[in-house]
Amino acid sequence: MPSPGSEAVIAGLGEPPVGRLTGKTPTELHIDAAMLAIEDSGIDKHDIDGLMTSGTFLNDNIRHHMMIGEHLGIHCKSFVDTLRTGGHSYLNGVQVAQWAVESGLCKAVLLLRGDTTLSGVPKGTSMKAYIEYGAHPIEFEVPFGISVPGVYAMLAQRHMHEYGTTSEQLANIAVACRKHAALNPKAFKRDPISVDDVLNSRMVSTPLHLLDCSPPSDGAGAILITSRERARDLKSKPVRILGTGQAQSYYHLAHLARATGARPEDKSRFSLTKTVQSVAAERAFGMAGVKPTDIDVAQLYDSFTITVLMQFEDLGYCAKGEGGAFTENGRIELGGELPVNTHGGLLSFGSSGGINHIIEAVRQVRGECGDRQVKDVELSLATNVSAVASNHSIAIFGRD
Amino acid sequence: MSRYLPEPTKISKPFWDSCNAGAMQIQRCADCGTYAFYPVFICPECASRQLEWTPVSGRGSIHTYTVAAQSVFEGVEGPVVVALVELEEGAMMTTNIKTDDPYGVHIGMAVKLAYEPISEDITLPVFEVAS
Ligand SMILES: [Zn+2]
Repeated sequence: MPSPGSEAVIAGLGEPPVGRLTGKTPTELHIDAAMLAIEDSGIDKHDIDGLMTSGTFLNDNIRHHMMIGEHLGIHCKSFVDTLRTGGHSYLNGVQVAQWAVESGLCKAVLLLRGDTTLSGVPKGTSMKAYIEYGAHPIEFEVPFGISVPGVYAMLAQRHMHEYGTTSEQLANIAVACRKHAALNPKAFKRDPISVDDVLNSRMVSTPLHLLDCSPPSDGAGAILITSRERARDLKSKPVRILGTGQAQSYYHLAHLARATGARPEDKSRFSLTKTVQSVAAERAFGMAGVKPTDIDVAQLYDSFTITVLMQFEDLGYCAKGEGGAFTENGRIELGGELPVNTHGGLLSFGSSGGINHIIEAVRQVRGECGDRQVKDVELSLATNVSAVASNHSIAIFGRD
Repeated sequence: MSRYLPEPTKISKPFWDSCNAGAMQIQRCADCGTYAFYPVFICPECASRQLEWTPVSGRGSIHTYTVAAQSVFEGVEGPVVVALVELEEGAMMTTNIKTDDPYGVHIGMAVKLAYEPISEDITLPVFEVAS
């Protein structure tokens, strides 16, 4: 337990526009996001002594954080890193920042993302770039023509086989995200869609349709983490980080599906459709001392609709196999039991990676979400997922 | 994008050599009996180094799959069935199902090993529907 006053809080947010940002560079987006967060918090930049970035799609340089730090003029730090855990780098980063602040290593940590995966990647080159980025095992999966939608499609196919999940249930998730995006002036995709629109969109890789897949989008985000005590001198409304958890498993589908190497008694707990997110969730809810049903609003990583559906189960919102039914009857829409992705998610808000889910989760607690604000939010949840449902991180945020 | 060819390594060369020879072998742990795939330096279950390259029966079943409408590679015609096949011996591998009826493929379907030479040096292990 951190000593009173040293508890980590989110004290600043920066979120430049998303969508197609022709002419912007990833470095520029990092700077834009960072300056917004510094402005939002009112912190003196000289007090920032921790910095994390995650590189970019086309510039996966291990010194990325150094380059960004120089651009910002943040000179001497006591903790830095270029995070390499893909789309889940940001809640991974929030937890690392929490440790850095609560241990006294850092006074304030800035966590950044910015990328132009839509306008900055030449047409027809993104698949090759994903492969070279390391999206899939290059010797034993890539030669067979695997793709990011393809592997999530394989999870969805298996989920349908085991539990009778339907394409309509997956579509409910895309529809909910779009409804919420329509209430968010910043969102990239705001035209309403129906379940039929999802089912009639082009089949990318069975059973996933085009509208089951998040579109490429430019975007950025910045989060400033400091202690509760230091936040008292800042101008923004601090939001507590009440619980965090992360869990990572495997790269090759063959080993992921069998939980190769796990204790014999653990093997039945994990499969393609039963992820280690359940372990991360147990930690995060345990640390916060709350239950899934105590959460007022959830921002769940949504690279694909199936990514969200499995999380309802692994986070403990329903039993394994009931994720499909959980999407029904407006349960995951504003006004429902668990409003999900109120900003619109990757599916409709846009951006890439998981930083904007965190920003929205914090904003909901601050009560700054306008037409999409959930009433009287006490607790919100954000998740990040990467590498084919094998890297998971979770944070639970609450009012100070 | 042109097709990515596997580049055999110290640990994987016996596997790719066996595919070229039309008689796929994978590693079997002499201590605990686990069949391992992909190629490994130690048994992922018991950490033994007593791994023996062992022929497989070639029989398996589809654990999961997807039909990609378009191939990601130039020169490869879609639709492409990408599958995770569970071998009779217990190991799984990512592969392709070669069939005239890609949308007729289903989970649990019995499949048998076949070989697809894709370059002078590389033959991919692929699967066909077992009769
Ligand atoms: Zn063994």
